[in-house]
Amino acid sequence: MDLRALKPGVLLLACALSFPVRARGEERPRRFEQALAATDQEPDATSRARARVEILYSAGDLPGALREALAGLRLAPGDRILLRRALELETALRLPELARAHSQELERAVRRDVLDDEARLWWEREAAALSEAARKLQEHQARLGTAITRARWVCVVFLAGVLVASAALARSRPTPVHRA
Amino acid sequence: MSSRGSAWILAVAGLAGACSMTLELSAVRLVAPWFGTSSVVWTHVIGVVLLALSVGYWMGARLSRGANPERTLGIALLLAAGATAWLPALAHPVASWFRPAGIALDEAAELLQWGSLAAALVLFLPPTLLLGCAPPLATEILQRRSDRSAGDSGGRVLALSTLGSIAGTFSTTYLVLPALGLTRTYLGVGVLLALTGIWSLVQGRGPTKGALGILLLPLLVALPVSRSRNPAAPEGWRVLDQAESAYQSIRIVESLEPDAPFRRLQVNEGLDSFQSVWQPEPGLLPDGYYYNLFVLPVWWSESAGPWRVFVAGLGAGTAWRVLEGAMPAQVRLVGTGAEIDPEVVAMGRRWFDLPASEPDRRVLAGWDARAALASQVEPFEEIVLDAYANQMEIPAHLCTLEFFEEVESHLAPAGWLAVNIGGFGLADPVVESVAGTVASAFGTRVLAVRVPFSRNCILFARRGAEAPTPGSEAWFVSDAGQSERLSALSLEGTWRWFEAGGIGPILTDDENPIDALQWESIRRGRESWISGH
Repeated sequence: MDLRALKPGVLLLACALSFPVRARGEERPRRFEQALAATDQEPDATSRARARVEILYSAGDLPGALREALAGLRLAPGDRILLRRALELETALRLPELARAHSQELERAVRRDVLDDEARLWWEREAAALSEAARKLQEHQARLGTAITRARWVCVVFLAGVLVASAALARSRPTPVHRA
Repeated sequence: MSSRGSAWILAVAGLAGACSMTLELSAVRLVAPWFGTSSVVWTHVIGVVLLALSVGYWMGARLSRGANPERTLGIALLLAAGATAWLPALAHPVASWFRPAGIALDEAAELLQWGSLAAALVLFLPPTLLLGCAPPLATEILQRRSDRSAGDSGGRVLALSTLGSIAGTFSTTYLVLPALGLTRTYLGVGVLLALTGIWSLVQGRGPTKGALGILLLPLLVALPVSRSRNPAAPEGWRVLDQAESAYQSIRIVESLEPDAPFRRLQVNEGLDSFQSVWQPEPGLLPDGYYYNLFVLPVWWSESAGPWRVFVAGLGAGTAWRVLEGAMPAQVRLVGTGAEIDPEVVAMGRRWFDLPASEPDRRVLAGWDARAALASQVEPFEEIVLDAYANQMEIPAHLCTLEFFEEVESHLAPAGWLAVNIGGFGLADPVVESVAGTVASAFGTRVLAVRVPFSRNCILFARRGAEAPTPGSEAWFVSDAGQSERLSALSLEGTWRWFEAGGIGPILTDDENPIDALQWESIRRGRESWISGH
């Protein structure tokens, strides 16, 4: 699976990730650690979850980012930003069931939330694109399931054929041997 | 019966044996682009061939009681010739039917099992079953014509058939497949079987010319049209080169992005993995490539002299290229690399700038990594284990306690071992077991680090020392770029220490369930993304 195909985040916390990188002997460049620690200061749980998702994503920890997004969604099930990021991660990590559920949830959230025209248009496009990706992932999963079923059946049919042929050979009466 | 008269039937038995082995050994290669060449695929192909031969022997025994076994043998061989000659053309549609395009490695486990078995049954059962009819028919013919006892005739046929099988086995691997490739091998086998079948028919005085034409028709149609086709290159990539080696199908693909040409070496590729990568400039690869982590030991060690590195599983030399471009300026890379497939090395020299004869780059082409390491005298500052077989399997003999003890003995004091492992997180059964085995061999803790944007992990072990603790003072290095990457690697959940005799089974030369662990890893696969363990 090529996880690098995942789109780069657009919600990077510029302030949280802007710790200067320093050479050894000076302050250690612990930008991701410090950024994560900084999120503890955020009183709002949803904002904190959003921030942690972005930081973990930037660090390349996609499963960790997804777990953080799912934890955030348990607190704020209709949060568009968390839903969008969770959907991107679920598509990248190929988790069709979660992606399907969250794509529906995102579409509902976009319809429900009060947004200005420009934001609504953007979110509708985004939700549609992500839903399409989730749908393709589901189709892919269905194709995979069909292929496994097909392969199983072919194995069963062939092996049954061999058994039947063997039984027929065993039951047939030997013909007399022709000698010249 | 004259000895010349009995010689032809023994020759037929030998040829049928040779053809059945060629068919069997080529069979795995034929389906490899879709299902790989893992032990599961080999098991299925061998199982199907043995099943087909068994039923074929039985059928042949029944048919041998007829009035004209020579004619029956000829017909069976002609039908086998047609079925064999069509295999190159049928492989693509049959295998693609069972394995849809775009399957990722972590979702392929069940499909690889059932799909490879089904494809083997559809493709290889018919020709092998027909070939299985040959030995009993040959025995009957020999007995009738020479008045030999059943045991004498059967023994002679078995001996010649087995000798033919031996010849088929060695010639297929070392001569026929590398020289002719798959398509011409199958067509050649088809033609040989047809000629033998015709000879048998002549001996049996039948059938008519019309019937012979019908029997020969499948082969005659197959000769100009039956060609093997590999799966297309992935979207956005083009195939630059491809070859059949004694070990595998190899191809070089290049990205179609004109500004950033990027090449991958793929072996038996039907899935999403690659063996080596290349970009125009040496140095770190984009995020997600595990090779970037092989350079960390030299930074942590703050070495200033030559850095002697042994790469087990050199491929086309990606590890060296990353190391030489990303090491501290004052350090000189002295590389030794073992690659079992000489064709991979040749491709690396053609397409990946793999050095041919530089004193600081010694390529042991055609060497097994374990044997190659055992032959080394000088100690190494770093040994990189990046050996994979069949796309996703760590070769069993390269992940045992005894091997890692050997590795440790070839390291300089405080030297490093870096192991690339494909796994789903740090609680993956393969990661746990291999890390525990390394820790037991080294007698020190082993650090496992998850590669960002990837499903790979890297294990770091040291001789008589430990890797720095993630996030500690010693973890960060003087290079700003490296330190930034190290910052991402020090986050909770991206690393884990493993102690000697850890959680998974300790793998030994005697007892090594790595195959089962790898299938378990893939089976658990994506669930662990969510659960985190």
